[in-house]
Amino acid sequence: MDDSKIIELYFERSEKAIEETQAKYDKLCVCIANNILNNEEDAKECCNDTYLKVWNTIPPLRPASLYAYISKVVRNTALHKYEYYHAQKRNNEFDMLLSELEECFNTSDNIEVIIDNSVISNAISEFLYSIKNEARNIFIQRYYYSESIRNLCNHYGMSKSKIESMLHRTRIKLKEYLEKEGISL
Amino acid sequence: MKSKKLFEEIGNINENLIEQAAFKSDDKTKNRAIWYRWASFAACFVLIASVVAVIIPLIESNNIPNIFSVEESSTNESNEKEKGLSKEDDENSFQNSEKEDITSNDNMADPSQNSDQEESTKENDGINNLIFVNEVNSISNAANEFPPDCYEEVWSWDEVLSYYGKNIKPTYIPDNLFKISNDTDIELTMRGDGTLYCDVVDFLYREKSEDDVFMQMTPTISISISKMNFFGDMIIDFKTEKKVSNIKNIEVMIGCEENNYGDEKYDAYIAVFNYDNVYYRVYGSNISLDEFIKTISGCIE
Repeated sequence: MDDSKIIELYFERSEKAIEETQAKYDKLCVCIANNILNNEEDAKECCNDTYLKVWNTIPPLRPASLYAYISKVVRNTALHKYEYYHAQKRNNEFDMLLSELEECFNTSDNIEVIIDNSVISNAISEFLYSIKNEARNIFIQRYYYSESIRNLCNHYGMSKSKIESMLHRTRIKLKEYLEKEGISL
Repeated sequence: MKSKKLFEEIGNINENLIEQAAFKSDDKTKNRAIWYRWASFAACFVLIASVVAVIIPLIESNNIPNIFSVEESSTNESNEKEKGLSKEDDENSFQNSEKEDITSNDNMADPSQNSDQEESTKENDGINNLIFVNEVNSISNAANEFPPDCYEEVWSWDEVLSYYGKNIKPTYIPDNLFKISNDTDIELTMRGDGTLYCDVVDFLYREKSEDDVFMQMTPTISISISKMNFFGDMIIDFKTEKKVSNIKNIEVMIGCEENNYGDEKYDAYIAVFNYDNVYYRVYGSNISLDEFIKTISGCIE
């Protein structure tokens, strides 16, 4: 079903909206949640929470892209669950992903500058628009969808060294860009 | 904490960027995957039936060739060879095994010892060899530190060929797969001082789709080639003792991993070998073992 029709179902408060959302986006939700939580049961529970959140937020919200909205909700839900479960169930792949992001800022800088969140995410978006398509998509797959390096290798047909090299260069460029924009995390 | 904050901020990037980068799937792809699965079953059935038809008369005549031993070989002859080949068993990664001189004939099963095998090899275009498929428990990433000042440099195909000193393109790829990778401009990673840091050249072949590719369920072969080796970037944990295959007199380590993607399952094969002082890593998912072996064979020309 078309996304605009699914959104209309939410506005009509029809429970079919959740069925249709699940039919269309369950694989996406499970995939993102599992990439972060590394546990299928937790991932499915996370997806159910996501559908409830979407039900509770539409309306009043009318997302321009249901795909992007759902992926954001499931990502945030999974991240919160990960923090909750962190002590008991570690996901080494996700820990590695977070440690990679440390290259994007100066770790010796102890001064925390409070900046409006939208300023940071807008700057990251602008930076991503400024780089090559392939480097951009690989960066987003890795740090938005939390895709494993192996899956990226498989999808792009590149060796692990090449994918990591590309991600490394993009992180360094992002660091330089954020510094130039005066943004400190 | 900062990296978690940055991860959260990346979650708020422009929605168009999120959609553009997505690996999308749809019913067409899913149907094709199911169709492919059934076709694979049928192909396997035909293959097994053919092997049985050949092997049974040979067993009856007490003349068993040492060919195409998939998974585990049950012959005593093969087991004896495996003992000679298992000196790397305590190593955990393909990478480590690549460091061995794997082209040495000392530990290698001699494919020419049996005249039936020679005949069989001719009949099957050189793909009937001693094949062991090791069950893979998991494949994990190893840390890979890059020089802080590294940068990318684009090499022409001629420059790459000159560096490798031979044609590195595979001569066989399954008919249903098409080349995706670009082989006109190859990006290589250089150190700050201008020396080559990473010389890996990749080839990607994938079944064609009008839609964006749902990567896990689409038949895919990727081949990575390097003179410098792969920097120990993958650690393969085997379920059982490692056994080395022999294809065209080259020792090849082959592994098979069962993967899940949502509720669907798919098999992926990985093979690593050194041929003519060049390291090869071949990865195939959603393809038959037969096609995978033919592809490896096509790299050894």
